[in-house]
Amino acid sequence: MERSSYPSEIPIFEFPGGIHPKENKQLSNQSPIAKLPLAKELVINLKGQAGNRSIPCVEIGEQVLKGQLIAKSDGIFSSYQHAPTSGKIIAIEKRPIAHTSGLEDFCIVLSADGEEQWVELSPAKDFTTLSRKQILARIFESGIVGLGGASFPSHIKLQREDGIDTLIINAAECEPYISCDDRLLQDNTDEILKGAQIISHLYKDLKIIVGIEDNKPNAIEALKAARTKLEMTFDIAVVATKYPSGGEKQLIQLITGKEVTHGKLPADLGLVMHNVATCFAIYEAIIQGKPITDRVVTLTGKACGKPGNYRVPIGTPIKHLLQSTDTAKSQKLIMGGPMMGFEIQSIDAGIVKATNCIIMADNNELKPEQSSLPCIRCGECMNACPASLLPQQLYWHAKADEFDKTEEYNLFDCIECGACAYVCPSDIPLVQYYRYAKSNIRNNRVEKIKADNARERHEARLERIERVKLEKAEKHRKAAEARRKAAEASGQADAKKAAVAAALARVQAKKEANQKSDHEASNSQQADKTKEPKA
Amino acid sequence: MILSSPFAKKPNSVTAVMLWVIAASLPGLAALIYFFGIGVLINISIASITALATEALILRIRKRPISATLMDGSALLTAWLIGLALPPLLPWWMTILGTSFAIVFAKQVYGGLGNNLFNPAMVAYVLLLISFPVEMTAWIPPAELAGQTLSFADTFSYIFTGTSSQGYDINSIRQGVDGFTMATPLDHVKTELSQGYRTQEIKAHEMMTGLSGIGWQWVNLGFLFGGVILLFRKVAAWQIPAGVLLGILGMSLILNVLNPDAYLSPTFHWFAGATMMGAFFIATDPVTASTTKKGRWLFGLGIGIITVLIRTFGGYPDAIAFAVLLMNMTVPMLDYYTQPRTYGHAKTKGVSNE
Amino acid sequence: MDLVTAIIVFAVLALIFGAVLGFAAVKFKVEGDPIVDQINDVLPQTQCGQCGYPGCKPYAEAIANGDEINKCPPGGEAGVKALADLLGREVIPLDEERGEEKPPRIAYIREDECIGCTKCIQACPVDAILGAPKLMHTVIVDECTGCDLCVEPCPVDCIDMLEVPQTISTWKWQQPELAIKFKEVS
Repeated sequence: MERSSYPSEIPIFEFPGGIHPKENKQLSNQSPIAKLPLAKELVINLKGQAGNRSIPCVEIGEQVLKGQLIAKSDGIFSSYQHAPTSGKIIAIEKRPIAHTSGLEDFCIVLSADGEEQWVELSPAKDFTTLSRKQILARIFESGIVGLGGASFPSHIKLQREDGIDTLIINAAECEPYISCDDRLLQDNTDEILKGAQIISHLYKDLKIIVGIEDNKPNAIEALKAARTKLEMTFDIAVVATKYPSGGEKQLIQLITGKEVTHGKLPADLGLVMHNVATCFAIYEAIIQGKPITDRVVTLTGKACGKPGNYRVPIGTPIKHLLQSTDTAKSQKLIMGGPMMGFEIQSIDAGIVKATNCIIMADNNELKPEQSSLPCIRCGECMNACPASLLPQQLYWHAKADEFDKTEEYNLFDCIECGACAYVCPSDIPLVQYYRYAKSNIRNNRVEKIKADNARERHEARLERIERVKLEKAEKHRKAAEARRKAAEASGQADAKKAAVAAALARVQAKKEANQKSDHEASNSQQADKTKEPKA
Repeated sequence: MILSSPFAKKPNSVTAVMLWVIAASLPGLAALIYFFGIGVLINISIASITALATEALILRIRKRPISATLMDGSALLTAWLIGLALPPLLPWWMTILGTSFAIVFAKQVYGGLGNNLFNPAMVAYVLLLISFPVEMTAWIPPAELAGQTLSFADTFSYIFTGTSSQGYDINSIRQGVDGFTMATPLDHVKTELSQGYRTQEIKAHEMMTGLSGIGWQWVNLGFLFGGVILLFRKVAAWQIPAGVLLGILGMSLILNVLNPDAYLSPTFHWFAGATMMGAFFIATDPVTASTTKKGRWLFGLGIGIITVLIRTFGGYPDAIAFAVLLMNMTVPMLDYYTQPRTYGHAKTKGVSNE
Repeated sequence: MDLVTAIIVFAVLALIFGAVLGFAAVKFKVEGDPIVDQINDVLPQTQCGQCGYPGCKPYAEAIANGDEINKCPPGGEAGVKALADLLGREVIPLDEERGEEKPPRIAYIREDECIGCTKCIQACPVDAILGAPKLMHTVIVDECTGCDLCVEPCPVDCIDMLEVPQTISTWKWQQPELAIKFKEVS
């Protein structure tokens, strides 16, 4: 593939490991970003971002305009969602979603009216007049999440202010096939850079570095031209094409030579990193007042009839994308890249904000499903691991369900980039073993909490039963005492009086028992004499 | 069954790794054939058939897929290495015994490929060496020094009947032009040293010319050449042969400097016996070697040092097999204490644990 | 004479060691019985009583006193393994008489049919059923351990044990099938 000869403007460091899979980007990056006909029905996944589900704020049957708020953040860790087009809400129900599991989850289903009528927008031509608080609020209300693939709500990432001095724009796009960021950089360079300026403005003034792989010569040229035009200052860090250079931790290591300490954040190094598509979305949100209603998606693969990059409304069903790109038959559909994406289980699912690519693969384009051979400990995985883990040992322990051992070998530092499984000569699905171990460990933690809770409740119950039993025994004892006293009294007075006294004593005893009082028997004796119930 | 990423096509396979190792051993094999006759090829053939048959039998008993496992090439490679290591005229049944023992007890008993602790080829070699020390040290002299040429028919006859086609026993072919029975250079050195000769005097013998003796130097150079190809192809981890050669160099240099009369030079050690084959083809077996980078260095160094020590002070002339097996034992520990520093972590783990 | 010496030596040694042990027993006395708590931590806290004891803690005590570790179906094979690891015992298969390992379930009350008898409330070991006499009852889903104990007392049979449906948040990756499939050789 074509490489840029433009040298990096700042010194570049190294990260360990990494691989060079076939890039396959020229399949989709040859033409500008286009549009596809609008789908009749959009399925907006309420859990379309990292974190919790959004909470719907529209009713079934309600008419909505494009860009209108349809689901709110849960207030803790979630995001806003907006109508991707104008139309009618026809259902809020469980539908197949774009998730590895192929399970269903709650979605808002919008029937498009084809008018594409926007809700009233409030653009801010000059963002410099806005305060930090105002900009953050707008980013939050525009439903902006990290569009690189993780879809982490951006307002949370931008929250921390102190100590940040550098903004890294992640334009590495290291996964094969994907070219949406490459194309966006060429077609909307100014907007992306203005988005970066807005982020920089949030922190008064940040040093800006654009990290980009050298397999995007056109994008690098576009960046240089726009820099002169906009009179901006930023550094273009051209890194050698090596997967996974676009991983947050890896790009930081390439550009700064530093590692993000385990358990810490890039912010602890004074860094904040955003993807080019996120910068573009921030630009649209602030300058044009538009919330996220669509995103650029790479539709590619050898089975794809019209490969390229398209602005696709959020919630567009994959079925519609197949039809409108004349993709008749695809052996396998992958959402995301071939290294970290997942196989689409249902073509009825709608795309989400994280969907950067859909690969429509033909018969022998991707790895065939085959059984693997035993591990021969060749260490290729170790040489490929960008986190310097020992994948062969992790595999060994994950396979034996020794999850505590996997944690000892730092399983949770694995970024699941797939480099290890890619190089494995035995075709062992290593990443799946790690995900298996991780999801079991997480589940076990949840179950442990549940079990502790159940134990506490059981113990509390046993305690209560014991207490009630004691109280009952005490009550009986007191009643018997009262009866005895009454009988003694009846020996001196007439029978009728005695009966009354006994009854009163019983009442008294009951009351006392109810009040859990520890009064002596003498009290009841006293009550017996005075015939006054004690308060 | 939902499959996880990655979906990208993979570049390599186990079979390719195994076949590369076999291909890279060809220069060494050519040298062996040139100097010691066609016997080594017959040995390799016997060993290969035995290994594949034994593996198939065991897989059948263990109810595992047979053809898929045989296709991985690991049994073939084990047989190939056994064939390369054995004396060229070893009786056929010993080759079969050693090979089948290696496949059954050093490999399949542990659970097959990837699970064995000890290098199967070296287990076979050591089993035969300690069971049949005479036959296993009965190397014939290199063709240039041999008193008589060894025909193909004779080779065949020696291996399968124990005598030549004319009925001579193996000792006749082991005689040099001077009529004395020839040993390998390493053997020769050991015997002569024990008789009080100095290394200079020993080296004066005509079979000791060159780096490490006629024939043997070329065999070692052949394996070195193939081994370097393996390293460039990244089929073998370079740290292991580097460690072995460095270990041999260090240990023999110390001894040589202390007393050059009693201890051989590093050059001799490097190119004598099975050094190069051991360093590049035996020790690099990934299954039984350490799997971390530092661990591989230590593993290699250990083999180098132990080899020199046994060659110098032990009862056997060569020691690669023993050294490899001894270091195989340390692998779990090496792996545990040489874990690399994970991204974002302060220091290497392992040391603080348990 | 040697015999006498030997006897004396051993007697003295016995005395010394006895004293040391006695001292240690007093000095390092451990309050309570932590092994019971450790065992209890491993048990799933379903409180279902399938082990034959009235709850997880009594079973933990029984295990500490030598009872088998395979009597807990909710804990399953994994539970037996964890107990075996903890106690240094052999891993043994689950005792089938105690029931079989089932996927996690929770109780569900068909509320239309509930007559408000409170019998299930009394049976619930973790107070996960809410209700009052003559009023409809319901299960607090998050607290239910799926122990089955409420099913039997219900006079109108309106309690079902339902399998917990899989959601995005409870979905787990499966272990890839073993490399070479263990097919029977035909």
